[in-house]
Amino acid sequence: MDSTTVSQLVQGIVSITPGAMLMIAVGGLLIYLAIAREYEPMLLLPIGAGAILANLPLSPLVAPDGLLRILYQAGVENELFPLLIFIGIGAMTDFGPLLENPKMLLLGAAGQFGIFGTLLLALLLGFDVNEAASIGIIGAIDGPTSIYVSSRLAPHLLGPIAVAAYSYMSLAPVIQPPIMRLLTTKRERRIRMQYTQRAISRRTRVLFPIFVTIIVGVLAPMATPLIGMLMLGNLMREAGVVERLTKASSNEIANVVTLFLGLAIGSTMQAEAFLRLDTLAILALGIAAFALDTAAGLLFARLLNLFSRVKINPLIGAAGISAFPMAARVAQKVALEDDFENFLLMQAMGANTAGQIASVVAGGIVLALLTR
Amino acid sequence: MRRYTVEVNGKVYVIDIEELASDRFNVRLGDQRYEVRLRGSEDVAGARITPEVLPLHVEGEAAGEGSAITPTVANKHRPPAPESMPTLPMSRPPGLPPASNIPGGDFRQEIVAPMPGTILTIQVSPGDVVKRGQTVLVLEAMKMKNAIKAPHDAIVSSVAVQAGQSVGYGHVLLTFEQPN
Repeated sequence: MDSTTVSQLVQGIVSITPGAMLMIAVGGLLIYLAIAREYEPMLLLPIGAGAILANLPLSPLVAPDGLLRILYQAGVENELFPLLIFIGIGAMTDFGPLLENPKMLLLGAAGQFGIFGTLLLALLLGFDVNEAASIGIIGAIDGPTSIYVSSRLAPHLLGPIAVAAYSYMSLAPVIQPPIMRLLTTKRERRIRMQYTQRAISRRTRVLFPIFVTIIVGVLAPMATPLIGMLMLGNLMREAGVVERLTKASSNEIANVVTLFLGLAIGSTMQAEAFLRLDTLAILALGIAAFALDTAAGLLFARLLNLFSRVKINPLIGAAGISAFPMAARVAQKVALEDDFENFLLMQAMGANTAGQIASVVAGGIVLALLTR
Repeated sequence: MRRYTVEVNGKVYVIDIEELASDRFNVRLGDQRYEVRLRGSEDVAGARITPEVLPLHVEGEAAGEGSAITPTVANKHRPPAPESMPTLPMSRPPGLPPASNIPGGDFRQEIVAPMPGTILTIQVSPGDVVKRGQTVLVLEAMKMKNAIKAPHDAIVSSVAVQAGQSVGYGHVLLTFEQPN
């Protein structure tokens, strides 16, 4: 046995770098959050595993023909995976509460303020405009939209942006309530809203995804892929004649793609790309985006109350974001703290699904403004 | 849809009530169809009522016998019909949120479902004494568990639903008696 053989045998050990070890620890942390805290386990677990696998010394998985590399090229670089996930989300989403209460669209739009607010903050911190827009889109609090936009505008920031978007999405119950209590009075939180249970006809439910796709597609062409896939899923759901496709989209396809997407995103978290000051800035800006969204939704709802005879409970304004259904549940929980009989879940769900649509449109607008 | 079979002066009427919105109802009596709008609702304990049926839209035969029904079976705590407010017998006007939960306010004899959902668990049974704020049942709506709590101290007189049952908005869940 000569020294070459020995060095070949221990090449893994000697190739360990401190950065890679730190990234393996970060991967471990994500897995911990997924298992022990159940923060979006479906995504954070594969992302954490991908991060560990990609940072092991000389990992063949991230070699040009390695599995993680192939997954990345197959579905993230060309935005395929987030779009496939959108079909599943559409197939799982009931827009009924929104159709019962179309006014909620306003709250969904207000909830996107964080995107543009954060974009400005990121510009001030010295990110270039494409990076700033990708960071701002964390304010959509929507994992697939964030991945879609940043893979087009700033692929090198994909890892931290995806981690921020998904982990903050599940942190809604921690991040939102203090802001909600701060920006509303007890009296406002106790506003009871009349629930109007309108019978939404099947025709309306079927036409809704078609019209939304056409209107959004014409107004914001860059949003067509996202809204088109979301509404395709919803059309299949509401049509009721393609149950097998609906089921496959919302279960098998969504699950498989989620796994692939998580692994591919995790594999972008290599030490040299992730261990930078920028990452910390992105994580901080993500929180700012979430806080701004929440605040904008609450304040906008209060503004509406100045003009409207029928008062809305401003808490549902905070649900006008994409984190579904967490944001609606948070609104309901906070409302119950002050009045255990105040049930506004259905209205909050309406605002929440409006937030989903609005965040996709906002993503399309950001892309339209920045792609040349 | 709910179907009420009422007997008025020995004659039996079948009334079908379909909830279109929280304040709009489709009411069918024989061949006649009325579209009814609920203008208001109050819980007035012990009030007697003499509802008036005013056809807003009548399909089929012209309004005849249907326009002046005075049901003899009336829920004693149902709201008195305000003038010109078309009202029909219902277990509770499902349109409006429960009138009041202010301590010391009107005693509420029932709890209705605040939103559509499925009854997950029922934590009381008839005869139980409940305190204000005590969870009486859990309603699952939009995959979220919602504790339905007693609006005031009361005695449970009946439980109108079963675990696993899905309920619409305004469905009566429990009835209460005033504790002495």
